[in-house]
Amino acid sequence: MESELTRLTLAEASSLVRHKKVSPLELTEACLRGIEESDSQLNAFITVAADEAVMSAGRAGEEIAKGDHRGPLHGIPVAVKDLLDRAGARTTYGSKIFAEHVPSADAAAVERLLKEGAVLLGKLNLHEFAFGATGINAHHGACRNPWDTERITGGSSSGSGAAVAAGQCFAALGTDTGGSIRIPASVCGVAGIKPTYGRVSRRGVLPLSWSLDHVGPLARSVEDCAIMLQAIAGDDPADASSSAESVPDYRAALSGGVRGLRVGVPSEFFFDGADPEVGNAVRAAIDVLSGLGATMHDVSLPHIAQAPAAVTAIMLPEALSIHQQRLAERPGDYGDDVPYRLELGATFTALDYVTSQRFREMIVAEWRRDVFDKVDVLATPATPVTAGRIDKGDLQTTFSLIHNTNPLNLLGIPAISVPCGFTSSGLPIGLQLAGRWWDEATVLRAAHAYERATEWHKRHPPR
Amino acid sequence: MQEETTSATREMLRLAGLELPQDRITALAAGAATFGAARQQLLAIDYGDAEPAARFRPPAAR
Repeated sequence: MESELTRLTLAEASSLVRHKKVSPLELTEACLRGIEESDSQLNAFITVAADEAVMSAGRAGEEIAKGDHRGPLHGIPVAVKDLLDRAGARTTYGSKIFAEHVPSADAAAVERLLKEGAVLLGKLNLHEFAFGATGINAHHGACRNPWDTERITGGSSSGSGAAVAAGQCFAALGTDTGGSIRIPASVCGVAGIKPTYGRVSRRGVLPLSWSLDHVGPLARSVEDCAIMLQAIAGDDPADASSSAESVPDYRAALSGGVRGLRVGVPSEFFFDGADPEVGNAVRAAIDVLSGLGATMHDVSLPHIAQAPAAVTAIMLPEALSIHQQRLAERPGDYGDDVPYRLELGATFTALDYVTSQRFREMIVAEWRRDVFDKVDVLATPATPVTAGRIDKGDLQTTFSLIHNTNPLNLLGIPAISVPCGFTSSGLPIGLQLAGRWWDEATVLRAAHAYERATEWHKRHPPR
Repeated sequence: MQEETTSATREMLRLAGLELPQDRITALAAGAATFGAARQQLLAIDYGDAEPAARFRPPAAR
């Protein structure tokens, strides 16, 4: 029964809670027992807040029993990447330097989840300072893929991907600067959405790159992602990048199917270097969308080949600016790989940075005019490769993992990864669907339609 | 050429407040050099009237 509970989607669990078939405390205790059983192997959590979670679940149960049900997240156990602040609780940012750091205020996204009555199980492992795509953390240990524990989870929201896939929580928050939600979603076989830049407040999230950071959910279904995104989206005057763009009802927007939806299949870049099994699975997924009534269109993407360079020339100097004093004073307290990336930030000129920001302005205008007038969503592999071995994590692995995700951070468009198959060795493959700015609703609708027509999301990793 | 690149890298790191051992500087210089072709591609684009995406926004009037 317990393993069945923790394999439910958030929406399924929420329905049981609403109808008082199961209590928040039962769900929370099932998750906590699951964490206890599996986390010594997966290393998804940095901090488990068991006592707080149990108390919170008890309170939620009392409220719901009195008829005060706040919504689909009320009483549902979730977890949060340890890059987001939790008031009064250790928040390490995956680092040694902040090992005992205790923020005084919740991150905006955490605040909003708590307002909806979610139960926080704890803080999830990540690549140090979110600056990496493998999830191998020098201080807290590598997070391990539930599908094959000798393999990476992808990062930087490594614990978020692993915990959701393993049923340790019903959903998680991650962040995405170059792919850090979509990469672990793809290689851990779960759904994860990076919304439009500015859709979710970055307040209370340690920045990696102000221009490129996004906050978003990972979960076991697209509907669950919609529920989580609904809770955390919306304007926050305290975040300069936050937008007052109206937030639609994402869950309601899931229905409607994809008949007549124009799906763009890029003729360049996104399938380059893809493992054959990944390419085949994604093309089969595109065929499924076609079978559901979507129309397929070859699409050329202006200046896509130069986008990664512009991302690099923005991200690295901004990251160095954030870390410069710490790096100068405490270089030895960083892990092995992060300092190299930060130091590389010093080798970019002011002209590189300004040129890349002009490139960003230009490519956004081009895609708005020349891509999204022709298609409604793009379909690509989320990652061109699947989970590599932990003992082989290196820069080339990182470059491969981020290839298809980081250009979309530059564009700031919403993009989701959903499971679309498995390799012959049982490793998850992700389909990336990306849409127009502020049109998470269409991205979610397309992803939901694909998911409902397939069974990949129903598979669970071995226990 | 490589010596010039390494020397330039050392100077840029120094300006960033980072004093690193030689082997580290050499590795970073090699990494920086891989961006060279991409830099030229970005500089060769005609941006027309495009301004940098990051803009200053004055605070609201009281």
